[in-house]
Amino acid sequence: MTIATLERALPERRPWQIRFGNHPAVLYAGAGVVFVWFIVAVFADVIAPYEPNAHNLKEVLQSPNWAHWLGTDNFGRDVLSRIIHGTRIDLQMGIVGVALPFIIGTMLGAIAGYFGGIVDNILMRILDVVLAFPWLVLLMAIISLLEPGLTSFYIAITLVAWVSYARLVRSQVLVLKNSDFVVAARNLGYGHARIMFRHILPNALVPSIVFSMSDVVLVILAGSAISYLGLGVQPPTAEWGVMIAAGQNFIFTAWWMTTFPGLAIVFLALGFSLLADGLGEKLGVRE
Amino acid sequence: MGDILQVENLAVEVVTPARTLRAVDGVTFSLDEGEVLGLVGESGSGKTLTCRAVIGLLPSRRLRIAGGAIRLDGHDITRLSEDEMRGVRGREIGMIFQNPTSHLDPLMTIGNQIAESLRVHDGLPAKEALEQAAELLRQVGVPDPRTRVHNYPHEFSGGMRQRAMIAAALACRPRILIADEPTTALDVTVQAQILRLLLELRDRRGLSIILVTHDLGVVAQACDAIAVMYGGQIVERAAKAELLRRPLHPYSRGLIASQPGSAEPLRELPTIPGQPPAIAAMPSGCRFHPRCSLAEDACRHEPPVLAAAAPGHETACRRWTALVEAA
Repeated sequence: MTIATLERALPERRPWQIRFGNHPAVLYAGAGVVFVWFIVAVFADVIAPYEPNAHNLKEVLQSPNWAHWLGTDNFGRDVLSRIIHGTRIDLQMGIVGVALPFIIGTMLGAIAGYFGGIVDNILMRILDVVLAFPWLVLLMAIISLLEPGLTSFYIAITLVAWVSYARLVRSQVLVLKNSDFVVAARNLGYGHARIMFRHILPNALVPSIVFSMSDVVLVILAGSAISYLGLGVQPPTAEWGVMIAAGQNFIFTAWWMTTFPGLAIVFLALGFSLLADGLGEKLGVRE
Repeated sequence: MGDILQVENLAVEVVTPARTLRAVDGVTFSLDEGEVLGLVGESGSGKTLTCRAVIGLLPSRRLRIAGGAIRLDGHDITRLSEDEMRGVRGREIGMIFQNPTSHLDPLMTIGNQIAESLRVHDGLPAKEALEQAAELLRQVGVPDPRTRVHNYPHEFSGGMRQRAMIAAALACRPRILIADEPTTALDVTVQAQILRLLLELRDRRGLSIILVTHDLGVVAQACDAIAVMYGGQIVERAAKAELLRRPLHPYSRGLIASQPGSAEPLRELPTIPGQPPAIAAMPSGCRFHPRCSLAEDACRHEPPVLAAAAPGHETACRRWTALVEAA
């Protein structure tokens, strides 16, 4: 073995990379952050010190203090409590908004890749059309055709985001359907359905799973952006994008109304980003 | 004991937009019950394609069986429908490959991969199938099979993976095993173990084996009969001892001469001059003539016929007498 091939055979390792045993540290860090957010969402009622929608006109626009750690907004609502309750909606947006496109994109991509021919051609042309539009604009256009709200957001994100999964899965299926172990499965006399679902799909999903983790970040950002624009979650529901939208009129007088929901988005996104990075490294997928 | 498999005049064609080429041309051989037949030749000689044609899975849509018959117990399986053929694969004919690592599903446990065949073909319930998978692993010499069924392929060594692949191929007790270079990717010591295992399975189950290889050492260890392929045709066929002792085709002779022997002092190995022919540019007449020192005019123009030179020994060389004299 020459040195060149030996170097290629060794796993790539960045100098600052910390590992615990076989797992990259980022995987734990990401999983930890995401786990904390899940706990916050599940136990929001217990953790939040105040009712998220309780107006208190005696305590409007208070800066962070011991009673209201992250201050209060223009209706005297506790910003911390609203962020904690907003976690439920933003996490749900991220997860549902990724799960639906994941499922639909995977199915369509698998069908296109496995059967090829005219089915593949039609699906890929539809995909090209979707890709031709800037996705955020397309998202807004679809929601405006329906009616503003979370359900419309889920429908729109599914119609827009399935293409990424369809492309990933299709390319994997194209490679895997001629791979040796699939040939071996054919040699054992197995049928199409068994080969597709038991042998090709589980192997084809790995890159999609990694991608979906970073996609959660994009979808949460899109969801709060859409809500910020008034097309998604409607006030007075506590949602981070809505909170930022409401706070921008007070940005010079009450910076805490926009800053803390913004930081919440950043930290949730960071958790999923780290998780995606760690998973990608662990599963040997490079984006 | 009768012939379990007869391949007659098999032709496999490659269909390209420009023209149709023959990759396998007029291949005829038969396989006895319990026989190990060595199919020997360089890469591109058509040995793998011949095997894929037998199991009915040519590796590309551009390839098709253009003629001839493949008879399993006297029935031509080239005429079977895809559904019927699925019942033949795994049940009647099993196949194992050169690279056990890539031919096992990385995301499925070894036990499940072996059990899958039993569930599909014999309809066994999951639990029983897994128990039988452990028993099969024991038979192919995997230690501690009850725990090993729960391992994934990456937890097995190369030799163990090959054993697992053999177990999966033999799960439904096929009578024929096609082994496509089963030992090429393995260490020499493991090679010998796998060959011994195949022969043991042959004895225990009455299995017939087609062993595809380019390694004459493997052939010498394992086979009963040998068919030498060159340029998509069989050029010589005989019992192993006869062919290795008295090759009657210059190509076989060249192959045997170019084997390094461990007992001899170091010497420069004789080679066969030239390259094997490309499928798009097959030489006229005898396909070996451009590389043959005995070639004469007839060799260049008239295609040779595989004919008996001695009892049980067929050669496609019309000048085999000259070859014997030259030795």
